[in-house]
Formats: sequence, C-alpha cells, structure tokens
Amino acid sequence: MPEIKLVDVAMIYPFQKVSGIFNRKQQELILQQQKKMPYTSNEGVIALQHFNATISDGEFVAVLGPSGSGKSTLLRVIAGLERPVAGDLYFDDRDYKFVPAAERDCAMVFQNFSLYPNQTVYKNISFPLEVKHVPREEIQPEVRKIAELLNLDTKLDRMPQDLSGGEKQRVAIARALIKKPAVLLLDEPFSNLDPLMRARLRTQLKELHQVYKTTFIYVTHDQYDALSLADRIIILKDGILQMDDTTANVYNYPVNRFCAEFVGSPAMNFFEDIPVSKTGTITILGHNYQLSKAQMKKIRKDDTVDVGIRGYDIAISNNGYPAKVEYTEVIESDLVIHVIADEKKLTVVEKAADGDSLKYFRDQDIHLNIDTDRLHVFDQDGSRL
Amino acid sequence: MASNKNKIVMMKGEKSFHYIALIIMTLFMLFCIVPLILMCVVSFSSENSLLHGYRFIPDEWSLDAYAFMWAKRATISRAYGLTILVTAVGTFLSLVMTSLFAYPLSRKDFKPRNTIAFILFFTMLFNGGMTASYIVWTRLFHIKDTLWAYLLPGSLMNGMNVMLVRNYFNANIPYSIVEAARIDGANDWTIYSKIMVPLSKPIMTTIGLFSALGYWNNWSAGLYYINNPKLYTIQVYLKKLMDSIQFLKTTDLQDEAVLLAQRNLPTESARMAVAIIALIPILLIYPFVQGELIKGMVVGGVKG
Repeated sequence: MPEIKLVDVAMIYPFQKVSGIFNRKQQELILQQQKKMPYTSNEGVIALQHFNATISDGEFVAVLGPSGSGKSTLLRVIAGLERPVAGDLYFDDRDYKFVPAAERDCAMVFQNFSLYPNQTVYKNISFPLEVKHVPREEIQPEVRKIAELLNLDTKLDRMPQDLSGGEKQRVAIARALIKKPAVLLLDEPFSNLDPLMRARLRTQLKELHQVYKTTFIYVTHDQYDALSLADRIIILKDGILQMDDTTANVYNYPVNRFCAEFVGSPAMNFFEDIPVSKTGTITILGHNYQLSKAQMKKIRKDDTVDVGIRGYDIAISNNGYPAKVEYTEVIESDLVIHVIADEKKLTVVEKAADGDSLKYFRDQDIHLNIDTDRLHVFDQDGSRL
Repeated sequence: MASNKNKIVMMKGEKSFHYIALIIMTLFMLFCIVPLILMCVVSFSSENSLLHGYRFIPDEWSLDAYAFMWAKRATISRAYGLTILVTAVGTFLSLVMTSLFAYPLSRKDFKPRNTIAFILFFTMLFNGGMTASYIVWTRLFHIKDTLWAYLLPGSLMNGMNVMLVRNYFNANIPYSIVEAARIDGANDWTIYSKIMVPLSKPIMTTIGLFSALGYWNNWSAGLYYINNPKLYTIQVYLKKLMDSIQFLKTTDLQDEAVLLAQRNLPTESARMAVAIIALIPILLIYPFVQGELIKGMVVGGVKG
C-alpha cells in the first residue's frame, strides 16, 4: 500500500462562461460570485494552492474545513478525477499526476451515495470486480463476505431505491472496499444521514479501518466526525493548508486563530486586542498570564494579542471574575452555560448532571475562574504565539 | 357526504379554464381520430360508392379492397417484411449511433464537446440539399437499389435526437455516478453500455419510437433510390399505388378510372386498406411504450 505525497499542488476551476440568450442574468450572477471568492486568478477560482502533505500507509486522515475550502477538490485530485494545474502527486514516489482514475488503486464513497440505480445491491457491490473481469465464482464469496460485514447480506437482491439512506451508504462503502483499494476516499459520506445512523456508521467505519488497514482519507466539515475517527487532521481554508497534525494537537495547540475557532464545540471564546504590558503580562477576566520569552519575541512593540480559551477551561466558582448567566443548554453530557462578562458573551461548559438545567437561571450572578495554562494566544495575523 | 368532503374546490376562473381546455383537447382529438375513422370506413366501402367522394356511411359496404390485398399478398407481404426489417435494423442502428454520439457530448471532461455540438447543430439547420445528398449517396456510397437506401440517408442519425439524449444524460444521470464508475475501474465503453444506456430507458424509448415511425413511414428514400420493385417497402408500395391511381384519374384516362370502378377493381379503397395495414403495427406497439414515451419527452426536453 502506498504513501501519498502531494507537493505544491494547485487547482483552479475556470470561471463560468456567460453565453447564449437565456439565463444570461443568472450566469452573470454566478460569475460575479465566483470573482468575489477569496482567491481568484485570471483563469478562475483557485480551489487549492501550494498544498503539501504526506499521507502514510494505513493512516486515517480527516480533511476538515468549511464549505468551499477545497476539501473535495483535494480528494478529487487524489482520486484522479481532477488534474492539478500545478504541483505533483506521488504514490510511493511514482508520479501519479497523469495516471487515470481507473488505474489508481483508489476507491471513493460519495456524499450522495452514487449507487448504480439500474443494478441490484449485489451487482453494485460486485461492479468493481466485474469490470476487472474477475471470475464469477471468485466474486460471489467476496460479495457475501463484505455484505455480511456491513449487515447487507439480506439486502443483496434489492434495488438501491428500496434501501434506506444508511443502507445505501453501507452499499457504497462495500462497493468501495470490495476491490481492496490502497486508498479509500470518503467525501462527506454521512452528511445525508440522520444522527443515529451517522453514529452507527462512524463506529462501523472505524472497525473497517482496523480490519482492512487501508489508508482512509475522510473529507468532512463536521469536526465531530474528524475528531472521533481520524488519527490525523488536515485543516483547509480557502484552498490553503492551515494545519496538519494529530487530532490531539489540532484540538490542544491550534496553529492559528481559524483552527482554534473551527475545531471544538462549543467554539472557543475569544478576547480580542488584549494589550501586552512591558513585562509581557496579559490580563484575561482578572487573571494574569505571563507570556514566555519566545512568545514575546514574536510580537512587535505596542502590539496587542488575541486570546482564546475553551469553555471547558473556564470554571464557575464562588470567587472570581463576576459574570451574569444568559441561558443554558444541555448538549449530550455537557451543560453549556452562556454568560456575559464585561459585556462579552462567553460559553462555559460543565459536565451535566440530573436537574442541571435548573441549576442556573437568567441574570444569575456567578464568578468565573480560568485555567491560564490553557490559554491560546495569537498575534494580530492570527498565528499562534 | 364523504365524497363531497373530498371534492376539490375550484375557483371560478379555474373552472372555466378547465372547460376551455377540455373543448380544445376534444377538438384536437377529433382532428386526429376523424381521418383515421374515415380511412377505415373508406377501406370497407365499395368503389362505386366512392365515385362521388368519401363518406362516413357509404352507400355500399365492401371487402373488395381487402380481397385485392389478399390477391396481392405476395407483393404486400414482401413489402411488409422488408419494412419490418428496415424499421428494426434502422431503429437499432439509429439508437446506437445517437446514444454513442450523445455520450461524449455529455461528458464534462471531453474538451471538444462544444465544438462538436456546434457542428451538429449547424448541420441541423444547413445541409447540402437534395441534389448534393443524392450524388453523394449514389455515386460515393452506391446505395441505389440496395437496402442501405432505406437505412442510411436522413434517418440514421438525427441532430435533434442527439441533443435530446445528451440533455437527458446531463439532467437525469448524476455525474457522480459516472465518476464512481471511473474510480471503480470502468472504461468509457462499460460506463456507456452498463450505466448510461440502461438508465436512459425513457429517452431511448422516445427516440426509438420516433425513429421507428420515421423508418416505417419513409417512402421518400424508396422513391429516390429504389427502382427494383422487389425492394419496395409497404410505404413505397402505397405511394406507387397512389401514383398509379392518380395517373389513371388524369383527364385523358378519366373514363378508364370509371371503367375500373365499374369492373369492381378497388383503387381508392385499396390505398386506404394498404394504409390501414401499414398502420396496424404502430397502433399495436404504441400502448406499450406510451408511458416511457411521455417520460422521455418531458425529461429529454429539460436542459441539463
């Protein structure tokens, strides 16, 4: 199984052409929208730029980013559905830039399932082997085996339109895995499913990764999927790589403000334009934090900093910085308390227990304490100090 | 009471719109069905009763026309067989050619698709004309007095049908299915034959029926390129029969036409009988393909 290496990859999608008599206004509107995208060139919208990454054999990598950040483009480049306008793509040091999709040892699971509607579940799963002209007697046990693994053994004679969303996606996963690909690419595979089905399939996917030991590249805008499944997370924004690190590091040491805000739920609390004293001290909610020498070196004189802290690292206690409760939410096992301190809205998270929703009430006076070791300090460009 | 509850309440304007639509559609239906009934009645009328024009209730009913057909059964059945052969082969070839042309035009990764679509569209509007086509087909391809004369000129591939199929591929088959197949290792031929064509049944039925009708009713190819009576299709035979009757009806031979009628040789009723016989297969096939045909016409027209 290969190691995938992307070197300085760039991808540009040409601008929409305005032509014809009909729908001209609509076409012009789309063109205007495209030209307003964060990165454009004369040729079109830059979907991916200067992208460098190495994905090791058997890794489970999640590609995370908001809509339009270039995640799916990256996957399509690896799959061979798009050819990058610049840069190189290597599978085990072999240049794969011009290798057609059919010849790459990749399989892909699409967001909209993309099953063949005219074929039964069995035929859908066996399709990749059939096109490889694998003998029928070899295909059958393979299909049965993978169908059993994905609880599809009783559905093999059904047509895709007779299946539920979760079953359809399981068929798509089975079809992808049957050819034992070196790389399995998953393009937001669970975004069309209900939460219960997502949770079930998430577990199943993790198990499949352990069984097949194939490289999984999972594109999602759902950080929960990424954090719970992946060994490593690649974060993209506007086609530019923001961070490429382990799940724990992405959560605990975000390299810039975007990553800090994007990863974690509820989102990180931010204090903007905090002045730094001559001695390198900053004050957040009445708590002092001393910047290290290395951090001090990175900021210019009279610069302010942005400071972030997760809701989990703020505690409500009898003494501390005064704040008022706005409202509370119970999200799974967490109690999320929305508070206002110094006219600034913050979220504080506690472990939820029975009756917790009544523990705090609107306009209640509380006091906040923060764990200063868990502060994230960013300069004015948004980079971590 | 229950039925009243479920009744759809219509506004005043809506009601009158429904009535007007009903009247217009009834009129159109009559325009289509009345000639068919007349054709059927005439084929069962005696020749004498047709001397003063066609009537819905003839003075005298007769099976002479069908008896005449029966007498000519060798010629007619050969023409019938040839028509079926030409229609079946022609429709199959036409479907294959049309879908094979439409498939690359529907592929986003096929760069010259717009240029080719333009050329296709251009030839739909402008062509070399009858003389040039005739010279090309007869001098270059030597199709005169061969069955190719029915199959190749004009009907084999229609630009409009290609556009319809391309639009169907674009609008109704998600491109991600094609991409999934590519990643699964399928080549273009597999994608075309195992995915695109089976998923395009409605549009294939529609253009198949249009094409079959075109081949079935094609008399002009026979007129231009066929001299050998053994290669007459039913429509060519009908056309020749009509021409012969027309010839007999010319002024100089008017008396002879009356004479023919008096001798009870069917002419007018015979051509209607041939037309009825020619119509039967289409009438038989239509109910089976009607559903797919309507689907195909609706979706094929949607721009992808």
